[in-house]
Amino acid sequence: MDHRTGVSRRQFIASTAALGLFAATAPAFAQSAPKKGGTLAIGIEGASTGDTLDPRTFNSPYWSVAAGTIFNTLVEVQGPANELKPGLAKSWEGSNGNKTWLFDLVDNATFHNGKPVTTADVIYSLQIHNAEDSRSNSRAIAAGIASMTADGFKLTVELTEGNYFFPAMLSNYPLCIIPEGTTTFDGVGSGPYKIARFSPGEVLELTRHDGYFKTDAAWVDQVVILAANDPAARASAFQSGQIHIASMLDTRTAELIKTLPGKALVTLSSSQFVGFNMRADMAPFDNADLRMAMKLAIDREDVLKRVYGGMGRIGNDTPIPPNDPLFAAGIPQNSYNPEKAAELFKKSGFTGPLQLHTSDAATVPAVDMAALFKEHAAKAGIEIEIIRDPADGYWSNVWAQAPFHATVWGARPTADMILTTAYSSASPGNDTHWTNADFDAAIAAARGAPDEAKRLDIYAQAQALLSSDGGVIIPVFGDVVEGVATMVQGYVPGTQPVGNYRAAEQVWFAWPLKKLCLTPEHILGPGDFLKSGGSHVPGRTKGRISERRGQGETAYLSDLS
Amino acid sequence: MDLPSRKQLSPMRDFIVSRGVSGAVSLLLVTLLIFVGTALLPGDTASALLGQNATPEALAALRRDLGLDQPLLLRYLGWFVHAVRGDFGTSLASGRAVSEVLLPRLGNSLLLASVAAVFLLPVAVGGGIAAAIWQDSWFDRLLGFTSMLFLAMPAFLVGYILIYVFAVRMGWFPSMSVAPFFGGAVAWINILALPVISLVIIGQAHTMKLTRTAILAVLATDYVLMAEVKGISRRRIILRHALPNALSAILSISILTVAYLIVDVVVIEIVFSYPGLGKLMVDSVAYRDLTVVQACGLLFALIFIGMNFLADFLALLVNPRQREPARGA
Repeated sequence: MDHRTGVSRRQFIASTAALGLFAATAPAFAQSAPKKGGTLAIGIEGASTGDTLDPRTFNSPYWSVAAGTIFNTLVEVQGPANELKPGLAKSWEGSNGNKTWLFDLVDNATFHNGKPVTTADVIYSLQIHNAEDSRSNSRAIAAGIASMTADGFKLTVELTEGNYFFPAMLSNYPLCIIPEGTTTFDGVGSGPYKIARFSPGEVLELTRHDGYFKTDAAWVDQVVILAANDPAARASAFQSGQIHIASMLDTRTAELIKTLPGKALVTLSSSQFVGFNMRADMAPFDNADLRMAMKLAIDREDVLKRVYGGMGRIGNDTPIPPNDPLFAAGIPQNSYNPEKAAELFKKSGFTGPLQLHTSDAATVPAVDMAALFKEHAAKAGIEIEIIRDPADGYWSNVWAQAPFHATVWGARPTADMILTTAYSSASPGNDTHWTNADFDAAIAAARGAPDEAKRLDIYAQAQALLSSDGGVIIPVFGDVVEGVATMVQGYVPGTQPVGNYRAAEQVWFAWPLKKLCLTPEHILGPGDFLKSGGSHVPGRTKGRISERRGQGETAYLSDLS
Repeated sequence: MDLPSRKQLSPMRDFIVSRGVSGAVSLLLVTLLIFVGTALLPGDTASALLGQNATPEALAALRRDLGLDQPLLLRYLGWFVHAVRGDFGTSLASGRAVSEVLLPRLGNSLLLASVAAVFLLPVAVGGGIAAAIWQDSWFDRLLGFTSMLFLAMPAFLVGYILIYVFAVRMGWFPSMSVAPFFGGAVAWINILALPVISLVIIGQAHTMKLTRTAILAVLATDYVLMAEVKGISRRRIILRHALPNALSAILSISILTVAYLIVDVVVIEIVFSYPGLGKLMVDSVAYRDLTVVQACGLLFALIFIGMNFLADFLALLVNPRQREPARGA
């Protein structure tokens, strides 16, 4: 499907949502009335025996979900369109060219230890990320804060430069709020569930926090977050009914899961991507013709079909997927053209094979995709020699260093963040070493731009530069595939795993509840859940939450204020 | 012969001393090997912890914090001096004391091993004896065939087949054997079921074969031939004459089987995500968490060397002839 011609972005999002997402999953979200009780089990990867409860060390899917269950951030993100929702801040407003932000905090939130959540806690929680010894993945966000001043439950944040996306950035999971002065990180937060038992690399058991400030949330009594690092173990635990939500399943098992009674498949339009980096600062890829030749030498449709089982979206060599509100639909799409690629390859003057480094470290699709790329490029007369490096040490020895290598970038809360982190000239994460003053100027200008149309326009320019000249090949954005048991109600799929980290407080069980294991839940037919009728409408499931006033603008909890 | 009692004890004492020394040397070598081996792997704790977020400054700072900027030999010596005093340091990845990380996992491993042993040993030893009694019968052949089949089958395959049948299809047991959710002792049965069945299936073959061979070896001796000539029934020969003589061998086999169940179950622990020592070691290698890997390796070596020692020691105790100094030498 060519989504650039005739179909507006909004229509496109609506149609993909209808076809790809909700058609497949509608039975799962037949809703019954919310009811308290039960133990929800979630399985996800990225846990390790070395894990700690220091938010500054949270840097994996497992900890994003754990953080979304134990803690609150000021701002939350929900749904496929990354809608901003109130967290501990019930509203926010930017002024002074988005340099000054005023947050109005809820006044009835309490920590698990009974203490109320105050602005002092918020200030402390944000500051620790920029402390000397911090290795937080949100350090750059905290470093952009010039000062914070509090007045009752109102918090004013002064930034070093204007940033329209600051509230969205505060939804990043490590920026969760902990009590002021916490130095021994024991997991006390203000979130819907408090820790009953934490066994690093194994399991996190949580029970409901009775003083939770959201009144119609946290339905289940207990939550278990299982460290299920192996996708096969995750899939079988989901099939057997041991876990209700299994995130980040192998896309190739999706078809199988779909056929299981009592199980539903959810596909998330994630902005995570696997790409190939061509280092623009050294031979041979310091040649723009060669870079473009490679971009035209990969068959994106074929990659989508064969690596991701058709579940994903075609990329245009920028980190902005077509479903993102900032996606520039008007710029030329790079697509497979062996003749043109051969021509540009000849023009570049380079001869001989190109060595492409790939590794399991950059996820399994990176390895499969490299093999396909070799096939595709051969048709353009370009020889690719694949070097498969061990996963151990890949990030420190190969990534951002070899001239031509596989990379992976997880989803960021805003498009601005990924553009800044991975492609701005001065960023330590600039793994293609591509430097372009116009691009840098564009993303800096966009952040301060008060007007949405203007902002979209600037971002389109930035994407055009990256797509036509940049050093990264992003053929496809693969969907994240999740399994959700149909007995789980109220699940709101987002762009991040497990209901944008916060499924634990969203969902409830369809009663009568079947016991886990021993009584196989999958014996139940899907019809049992269809009878209640109704279907999932994005933004309506939790009707209480907000009135949306445009992407990223003030939204508030009407029933809490 | 003037001090018969001392004379009689001395082979025993010699045995203990020599095995003690060789055991200590083995342990030392094991720690050195693990240290060097882990250091040879690409990357270190700092790069594993930081992953894609590794900037040169962050790497340097973290390496300094963790003491990874010291030369390898110095780090080993530092570790050794502390370890001798019983201090295994702190985990590089989490900062928790190694003992705090290790002990719960050791407990889990011992639990799994002992439950598996309770089922495995009677089945395997009994099967081996029965196979020897009815040597070359259809029963012996069937047992030989099935045990070879399971011996040849990779451990993970057995695990996955069990998961498919009992977890995915029937839904009787959980496929991931993580500690029970908010559960008590009864829940543990549920959790342990599949790993234990796997271990019994995989481990029995070896033990059964060795038991059968040990008994058949005794059956090939002259005194058994004599007994047969005298017309004593085969069953009586085996139970009254062969079994006591094969007992030391069977005891050794059983103890080594238990050692195997503790040490060699890494694959099963991984397949079922069981939080034992083996899984801890594998996870820690991924993070180059040298202190934890080192402590796991040491513990494994200690268990294995200790069990071997115990097996040989018990063999000596059970068999009086082996306690005597070698004659005519």
